[in-house]
Amino acid sequence: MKHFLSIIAITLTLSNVIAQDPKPSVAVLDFEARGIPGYEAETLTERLRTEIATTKAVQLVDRKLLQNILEEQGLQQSGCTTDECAAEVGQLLGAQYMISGAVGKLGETYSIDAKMVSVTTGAAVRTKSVSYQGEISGLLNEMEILAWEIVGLPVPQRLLIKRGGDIALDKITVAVLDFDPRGISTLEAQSLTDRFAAELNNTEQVILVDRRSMNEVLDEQGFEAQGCTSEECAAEVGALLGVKYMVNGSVGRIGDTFTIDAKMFFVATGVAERTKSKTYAGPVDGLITEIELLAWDLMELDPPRRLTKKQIGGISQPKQRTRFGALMRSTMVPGLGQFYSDKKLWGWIWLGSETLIGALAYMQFSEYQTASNEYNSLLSQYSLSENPSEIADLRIQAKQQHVKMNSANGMMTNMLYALGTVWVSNMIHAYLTGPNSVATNNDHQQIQLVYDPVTQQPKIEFSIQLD
Amino acid sequence: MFLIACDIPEEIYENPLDIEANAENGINPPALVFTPSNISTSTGSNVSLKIFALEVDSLAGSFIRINYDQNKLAVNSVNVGDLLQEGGQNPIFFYENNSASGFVDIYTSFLGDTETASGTGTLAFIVFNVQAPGESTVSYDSESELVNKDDIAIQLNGLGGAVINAQ
Repeated sequence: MKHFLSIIAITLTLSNVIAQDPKPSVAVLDFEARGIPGYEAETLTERLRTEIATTKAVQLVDRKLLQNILEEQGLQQSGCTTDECAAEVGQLLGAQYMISGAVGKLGETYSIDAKMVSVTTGAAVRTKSVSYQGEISGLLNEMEILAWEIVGLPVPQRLLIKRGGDIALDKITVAVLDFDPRGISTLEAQSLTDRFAAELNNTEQVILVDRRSMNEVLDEQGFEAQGCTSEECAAEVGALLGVKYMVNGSVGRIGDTFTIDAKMFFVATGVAERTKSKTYAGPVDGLITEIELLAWDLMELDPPRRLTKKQIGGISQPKQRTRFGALMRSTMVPGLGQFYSDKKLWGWIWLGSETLIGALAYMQFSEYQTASNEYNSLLSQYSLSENPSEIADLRIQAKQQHVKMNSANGMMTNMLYALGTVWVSNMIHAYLTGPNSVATNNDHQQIQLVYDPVTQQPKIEFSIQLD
Repeated sequence: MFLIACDIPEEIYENPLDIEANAENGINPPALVFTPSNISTSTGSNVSLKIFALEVDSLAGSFIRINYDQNKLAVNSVNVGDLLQEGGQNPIFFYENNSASGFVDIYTSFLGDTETASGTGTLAFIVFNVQAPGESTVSYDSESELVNKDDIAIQLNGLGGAVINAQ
């Protein structure tokens, strides 16, 4: 009688409570252990209960209460595996639904099977099965995910992130911290970071934590991500988010030149595995394209044509300086290859030398021309003269001019050989001292994205050159 | 760059009155030369040659035979030169043309014992008419002779020639 009265009292209490709460009431029976220790199954079930409570989608029956009821009925949780038993227990508890299931191990694979049974009908309304390979501790995350799935709600990102590479073995989990602004506004840096992140997602090589989710997690943890630029900080944030890699970087501006730096850290070790940099000069419209290209570059992938077209289409194409380029330039103009390689002193030396020798050669040529004209004139006079003494005199003068011609011609030839030697030496020097790879930029001034401090909004600025 | 080395012409001094040039060709004064010594012309045109005496001394008379190619050239005229008319002198001057054999004889003389000519100058002008194309030479015959007032032959150390090239 006493037991009966206590059962009635508990049932009435439950009913009263349940009547006040519109959420369905659910009780979770301990999951059956198959191939794993019983206490592990209990631990996993407890995690399921905790997470179900987190969903706030159902009214969860307390485990102790459940235990008491079962003891009263002389039942064990572990023995109640059928839908009928679950429904019977549910009726005693006054719950609307019962969740039961099993956790098993087959070889290296764990399996979780769960079902939600309607107490009223005794039928399973929802079943879920999970296969998992890995450490058993990973099953805790799986149970948390299962909690959301079994109540019919979408699984939070944080749990999926924690699941990590299980979703797609060839993808990595990545979170992107806002790029550090240097010379640009914070809003611009954030916009560029968003574009970068979006393009990183487009590579389909990563599972990206979106900004909102990241901020939610960090807020929960009480962590301030702004100003997090060091490797250690990025690794810490990554650990909190449960991602494999973190990306951070900076966008700087000096005049019309922008520099973009991005680093990809392996969270587990805190080591930067990839570092990419770009230098760009031109309107901000092109900078957006560059940062999008950087995303592909960071993933060491070839960028899609839509981006390279935008880049080639005329914003700025950083050109690679090469030794061959230096050689070609020095072949055309001595010293030009050295200027191209940023070796201005050598450039001036070669150019100056060639100019000097060229000038000397020209001087000799001029002397030759003068002597030649004089010689021809004297020869003409000599041929026409009928005065032997005059003829003799003209002959002597003509001979003198002929000697001058020879001398000037000889000097000029030597100068030309020197010119050629210096030219070839300059070409060789240009090639040997040429660059391996230097980025340079071209300018196009058409559209600029600028930050308006008055409205505190970014705006697009057009400029048209009138002259 | 290496192909623009300047052209240096060969020194050719061929003025027939150039004593040094003549000496290189074995013609030393006193000598008889033609000037010009090389003529390019066209068929049917007239060509004038000067009979030049180089550094003669006390010339009183001369007999000059000029050989020419009668198939290509015809003597048009022969006139007295300046050297024999210096100082208002009036020499005896006549010529005989043998067109069949291809030579013309020129005779000059001063009347009296005092008139002579010395130095370098034109003894006579001879005008040829070019009859046919090709190259033809005009030369002094070795019988040519210059004499002084004592009718003693003046040693000639060279006899020049001329080439007429007709197109």
